Amino acid sequence: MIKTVGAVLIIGTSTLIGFFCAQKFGERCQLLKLWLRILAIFQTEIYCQAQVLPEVFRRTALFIEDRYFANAFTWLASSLEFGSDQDFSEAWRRFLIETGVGVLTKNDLTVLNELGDYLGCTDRRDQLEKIVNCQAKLEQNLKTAENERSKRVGVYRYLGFAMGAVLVLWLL
Amino acid sequence: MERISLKMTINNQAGAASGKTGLAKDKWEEVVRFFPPELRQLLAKVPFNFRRKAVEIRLRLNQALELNCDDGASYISRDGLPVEEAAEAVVITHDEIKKTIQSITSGSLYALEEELIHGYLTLPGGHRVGFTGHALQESGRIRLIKNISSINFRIAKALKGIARPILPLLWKDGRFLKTLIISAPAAGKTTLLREIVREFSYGNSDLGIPGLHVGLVDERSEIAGSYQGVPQLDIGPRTDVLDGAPKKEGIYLLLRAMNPQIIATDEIGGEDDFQVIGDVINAGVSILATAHARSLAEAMLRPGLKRVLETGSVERLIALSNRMGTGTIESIKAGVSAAELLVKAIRPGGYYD
Repeated sequence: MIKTVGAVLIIGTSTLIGFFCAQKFGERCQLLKLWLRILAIFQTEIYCQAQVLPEVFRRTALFIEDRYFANAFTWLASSLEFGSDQDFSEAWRRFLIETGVGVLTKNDLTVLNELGDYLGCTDRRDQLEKIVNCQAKLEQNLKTAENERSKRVGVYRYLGFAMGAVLVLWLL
Repeated sequence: MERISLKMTINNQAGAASGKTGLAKDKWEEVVRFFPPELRQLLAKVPFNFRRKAVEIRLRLNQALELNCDDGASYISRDGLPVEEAAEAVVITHDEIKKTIQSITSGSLYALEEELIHGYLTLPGGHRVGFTGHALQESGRIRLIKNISSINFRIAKALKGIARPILPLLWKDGRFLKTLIISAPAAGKTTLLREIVREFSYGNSDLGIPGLHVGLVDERSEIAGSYQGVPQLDIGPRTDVLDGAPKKEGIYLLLRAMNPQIIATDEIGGEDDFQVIGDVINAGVSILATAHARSLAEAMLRPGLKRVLETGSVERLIALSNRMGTGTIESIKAGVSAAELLVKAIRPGGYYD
């Protein structure tokens, strides 16, 4: 009886670990999709409405459902308010670390960091070009991420279960 | 006959009209908060008497930090003290310019494209920031100023009460007299114009002046100090401000839309201004304007102004100078035609209505 319970526990745990690892791929895709939505909001707010960045970030916070992300955008907006001493590039990097590290890849973060270096510094036309450029890169990354997900999600889930089963057999 | 020549200075009147200490402190701090922390700490050490007189703070890349006061310019040393020699002053770095630009634009240069084309923007509090750098052209027009290398903070000062002594001279038979304020640059024209607008907008029961509807065309956001379309300076409860609009179109819009009793605007003197002012007068509306000219004789040398004066569009001509400090009212002349005004200008002594 104890052996059966132990075996179930081990297989269950290892299967769960496999599922968590597989979920990471899904999270990256979701986050990249969210970023593409955010960039679409930036396009409208910056190019069409010519809103200042704090207002753009505040409005973005209103439009996105992810509360953690929304709070991070509100913080970013406050870092750019009149009289704020915070350097925007630094604030942007911190924002990306808070919201993306562990989920996004180094390449994703580099693309978004580059956007932060340009955001707000040029005229509207140029801002639009930079955002579109960033969108194109992230779309490419999203395709890669989706390919990876379709390939690896099943593998990781199966691998989790298989590792558990192997461990149980070895213990028996 | 009433002698209407006055001698006074805006500064002297302002002292009596408002608490100098509070005003200087507030305005200085309003401006200084846009500076990077290092410069802000430095400017916090500037002696109070200099803050009170401060008109401009100028930042130039790799040059000394400059403070312009009513009575002259000086540099700011590393101790925050005004000094005469640039060598003793703190030097502005690229990083400080960059941070200042980021601060005044909220990190959003693109949102201020129009302002960047014109080379200035207005901050909360009505303060103006002018800048120069590398101009990008498109079809022969400036599209953007980038690589900004000079920033000039012009501290807005509302000197309430300075126009009060001259109000009786601008009001006759129940109407505001068409008035032109002339002076050399930086002699207080806009400040006086703003105060006249404010006084007539509030009205003055002691003088029997009811509050009038004033339409203000503020082409360069200088008079009302509007920030995002909202006046930052007190221009009275019955004043409608059209901010950032070209004078001609703005005046016609106000005439059509707002039914004003006075239309006020800054710096007339263009070739076709006489036509616009003529239309204002034909609509039964009084005009209050300013123009660059040291004297009536100089004004008559400028074709645009000459035509305004020749068409009898000016009933009161206020001449300002810096002789006894910014805003010294040299004279207020009365007349309905240029010839009459000119005779009065040439003849020394008092001017008669």
